[in-house]
Amino acid sequence: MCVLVKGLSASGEAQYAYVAIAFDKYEEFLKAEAAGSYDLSAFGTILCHGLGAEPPIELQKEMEEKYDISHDLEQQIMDALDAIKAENT
Amino acid sequence: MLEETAIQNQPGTIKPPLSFSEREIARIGHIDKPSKEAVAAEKNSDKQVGTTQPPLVFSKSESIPLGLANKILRKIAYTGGFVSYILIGLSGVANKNPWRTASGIGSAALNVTSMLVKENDQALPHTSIPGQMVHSYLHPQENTLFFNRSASFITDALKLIAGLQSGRDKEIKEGAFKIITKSIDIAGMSDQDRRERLALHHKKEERSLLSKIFANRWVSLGSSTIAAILQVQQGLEGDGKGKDKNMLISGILYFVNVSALALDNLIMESKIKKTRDDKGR
Repeated sequence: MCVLVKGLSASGEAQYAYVAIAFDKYEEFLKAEAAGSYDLSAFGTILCHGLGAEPPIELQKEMEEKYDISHDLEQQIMDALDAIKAENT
Repeated sequence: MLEETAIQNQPGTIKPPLSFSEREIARIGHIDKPSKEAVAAEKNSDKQVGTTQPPLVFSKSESIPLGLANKILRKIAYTGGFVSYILIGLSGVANKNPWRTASGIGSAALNVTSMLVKENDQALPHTSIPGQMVHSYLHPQENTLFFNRSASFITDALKLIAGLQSGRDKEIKEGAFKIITKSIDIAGMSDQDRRERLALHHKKEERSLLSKIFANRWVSLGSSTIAAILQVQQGLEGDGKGKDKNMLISGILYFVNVSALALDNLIMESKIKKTRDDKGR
C-alpha cells in the first residue's frame, strides 16, 4: 500500500516521503507514528522523499501517474461510504 | 549498491513499480519456479525487495494511504467498480445489515473474477499467466466453478463479520475458525482429493508438495482475510478520524489485496488441472 508521510526530520526540518508499506506492518507503523520518533525505512520501501511540508505539485502528479495512486483516496472513500449510508437511512 | 543508495537519497527520485514483498510471497507459500519471462519482467522490482535502505527518521508525522503499491492489484481495484462493491459490503458491516454486506462483497468477488478471466490480458501476480490464456484454460463449466469458488471465499468472510457484529468472543472465534477451514474447502479438494487429482501426471513427492503448497496458501489467505476485516472493523468503530480513518482505508485496500491473491490461487490450481487434462488426452 502506498502511503504519503509528512512531518519533521530528526533535526526539525519539514520533510515528506512516499512509502510502500505491507498491510501486516501498517498498524505497527501507525503505532510508531503516534509514539513519536521512528525510522520510516523500517516499515516499508521508500519510493521517494524530499524536504518541505508538502511534496511539490509536479511530483504529486508524477507519482499519481506512475503508481495510479490518488491523493484524495481517503476523501473519496469516506464520501462514498457516506453516500451509501445516506441511501440506507 | 552504492549507486542505488545514492539514487534513493535524492529527493523526489521515483523508484520502479513494486512487486510483492518477500514477506508477502513467504506468507502465501508460493515456491513455484518462475518462467524466464517472469524473471525478466520483474527484474527491476526485484531489486527493491530486501535491499537495505538508508534510515529516514521522522520525529513527528502524519500519514495518509494513497492506494495499492502493486500494479496488478491496482488494476483489479480500480476496474469495474470493485471498490464500490466492497464499500457497499462494508457499509453493510457498519449498519449491521448482513444482507447488504453479502450482496456488496459477493458482487465484488464475482465482478473481479469476471474481469480477471475475461478482460485482463496482463500477467497476474506470481503466476505470470496472461489473463487471456487463463480464459482459454477454463471451459464454461470451469468458469462457473471459478465464480462459485471465489464468491464462496469472500462470502465466507461474512461469517466472521457476523461474529464481529455480535461482539461476542465465542462467535468471533467460531467465525475465524470457519473462514480458515472453509478457505481450504474453496479449492474444492481435501488434501486426499488433491493428491488423487494430481496423481496422474506428477511424481509422488511432487503430489505431496503441491498439495501442501495449496493448502497452506488457502490457510494463509484465510488469515489475511481475517486481518483485513479486523482492520476495517477497527476503522469503522472509531470516530472516523486520524488513526481510525487510516485503519478503515488500509483495511479496504487489504481486503482488495487478499481477494486478488485468492483469485491468483484459483488460477494456479486451474493451470495445474489444465496441464493434467492436456496430458491425459
